[in-house]
Amino acid sequence: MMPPEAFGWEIWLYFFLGGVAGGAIAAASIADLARDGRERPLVMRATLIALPLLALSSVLLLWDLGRSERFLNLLTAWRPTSPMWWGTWILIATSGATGLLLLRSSRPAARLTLAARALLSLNVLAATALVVYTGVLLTTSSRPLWSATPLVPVIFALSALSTGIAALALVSRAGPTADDLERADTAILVLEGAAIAVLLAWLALAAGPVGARAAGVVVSDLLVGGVFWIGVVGAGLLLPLLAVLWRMRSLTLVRAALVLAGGLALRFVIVAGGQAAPLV
Amino acid sequence: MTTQAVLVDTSRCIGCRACMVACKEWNELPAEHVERTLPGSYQNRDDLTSQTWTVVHFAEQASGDDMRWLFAKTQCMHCADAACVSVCPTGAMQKDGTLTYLDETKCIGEGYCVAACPFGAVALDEGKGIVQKCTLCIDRVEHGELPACVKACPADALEFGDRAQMVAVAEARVGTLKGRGLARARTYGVDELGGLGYVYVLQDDPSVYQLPERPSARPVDIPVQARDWVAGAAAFGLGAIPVWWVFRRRTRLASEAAEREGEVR
Repeated sequence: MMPPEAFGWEIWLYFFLGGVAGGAIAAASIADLARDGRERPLVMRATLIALPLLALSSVLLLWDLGRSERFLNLLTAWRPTSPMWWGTWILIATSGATGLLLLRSSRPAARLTLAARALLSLNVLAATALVVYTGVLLTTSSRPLWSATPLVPVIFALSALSTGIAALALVSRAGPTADDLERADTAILVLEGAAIAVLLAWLALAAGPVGARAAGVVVSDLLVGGVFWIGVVGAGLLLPLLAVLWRMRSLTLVRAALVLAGGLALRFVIVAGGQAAPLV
Repeated sequence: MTTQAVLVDTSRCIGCRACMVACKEWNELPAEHVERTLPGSYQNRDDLTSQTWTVVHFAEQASGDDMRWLFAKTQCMHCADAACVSVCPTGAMQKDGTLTYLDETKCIGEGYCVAACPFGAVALDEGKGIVQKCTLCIDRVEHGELPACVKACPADALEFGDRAQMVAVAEARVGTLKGRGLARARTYGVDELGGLGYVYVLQDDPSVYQLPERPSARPVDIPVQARDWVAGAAAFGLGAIPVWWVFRRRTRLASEAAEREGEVR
C-alpha cells in the first residue's frame, strides 16, 4: 500500500539549508572555543552564511503550508508531543542566538570572555537542536526508511556538520584555518558514510520485508537510487575523500562544493525515497 | 464522547464497493481520475486519497485452478493512540472517545499527520490546503444514524455499535471461522495502537489485506522519540570532536612554539 505524499521539495531543501546553517554555526563556534577567540572571523563568516539560510528556511516552510495564513496556529498552540511544534520554536531560537553573534567583533581576540563562551556554547546547543529535530521529524512517522531505525537523526547531524564545514571552507582563504576545516570534514565524512551504510544494512537485514523494500528503493530506484549513488556516495563522499587522500590541494573549493552537493542529494534521497516505498 | 466502533467482517464482504460509493455520496466527495497501477486485480482505487476516504482492498490468490478472493475495507482506523493526533503541531487533529477528528479551522496543511499515519489514511487536499480523512460519519452518528458505509453494506460485513461489543462479536466470529478450518483467521485492531475504532475479522495475515502487521508506533512512543533525540545529539557531538581536536591542536602547538621562543631568549 502506497501512502499519500506528505513532504515535497520545500522540505528536503529546508532540511539541507537548515543543516548547512546549523553545521556552520556549530563548527565555527567550536573552533573559536578551541582557539580561545582567535577564530572570531570564522564565526562571523558562519553567521553571515547562516542568517540568510535560516531566513530562507522560514520562507520555504511558510510557502509549504497548505494554509500559510494560519502559521500563527503553530505559535499559539501547546503541543509538546509534536517534534514539529518544538522545531518551530527551535528555528526561532536558533535564528535569535545566531543573530546575537552579529554583535561580536569579527577581529581575532587573544582570549574569550565568559559572556563570549556562553554565547558560543548557546549557539552550539541551538544548532544541535535545529539539526537533530529535522531527523526526529522523520523518525516520528510510519515510513519504514525513516522510522524503522533511529539513524536518520544521526545521519542528518553528521551531514549538517560536513556541509556546514564545507560552506565555511568555500568562503575561507587558503591557510591554517582552511586546512583544519578540511581535516575535520574528512573525519566527519567517514563517520557519515558509515552511518549511511549501517542504515541500509539495518533496513535490509533487520527491519522485515517492508524495511528491505525501503532500502531497495534507495539503492535501486531509477531516480532516488541514481541520486544516491551519483550524488550522495560519488560526489558527496568518495570524491571528497579521494581528493584528500591524493592531496589535491588545488581542489579545495571543488571539494567543498561536492560535499555540499552530496548533502543536498542526501536530503532528497531520504525524503523522496522514504515516500517511494510502500507501507505494507 | 464516542464509544462506538465499526466491525469489519472480511469473511462476509463481497467486494461490491457499496461502502465506497455511500462514503462519496454522504461526504460529497467528487469522482477522481483513476489510473490502473495494479494489473491483475479488480481493486479500484489503489489507495486512499483526500477525495476517497475508504477503499476496499482486493487480494486475488490463485492456487492451481482454485481462486481465493479476499476483501478488506480500509479507511482511517481511528486509533486510540493516534499518530496523527500526537504529531499535529497545531492541535487540529483530536480524539473524542474512539473518534479521531480534524478541527478544520486549526489545520495548516503542513502534512505531518500524513507522514505519521501507519495506514496511509490521511491525505492533503491541495485545493482546500488542509488534510482530509474518514470522519466516522460523526455528522450522522450524533443524530442516531449509522455511518454511511455501514448503512450501505448489503452483506452484513459492517456493523456499528459499542466497541466492547464489536470486539466480542469479532472474537466469536474468528472462533467460528477457525472451526471451519480457516487456521489463519484472526482479529485485527483489538489491541493495535491502543485499539482501533475499526475492528477487523480477517481470514488471513494482515499484510494479505494491505494492512501493516505491526503499525509504526514511533509517533506516539515518547520514550523512543527521546532516544532518537539523544542519538542525533550524540552523533552531532561525535562529529564535533574532530573539529574541536584539530583547532585545539593548533592552539596547543602555538603556545608550545611561544614557550620555546621564550626559552631561546
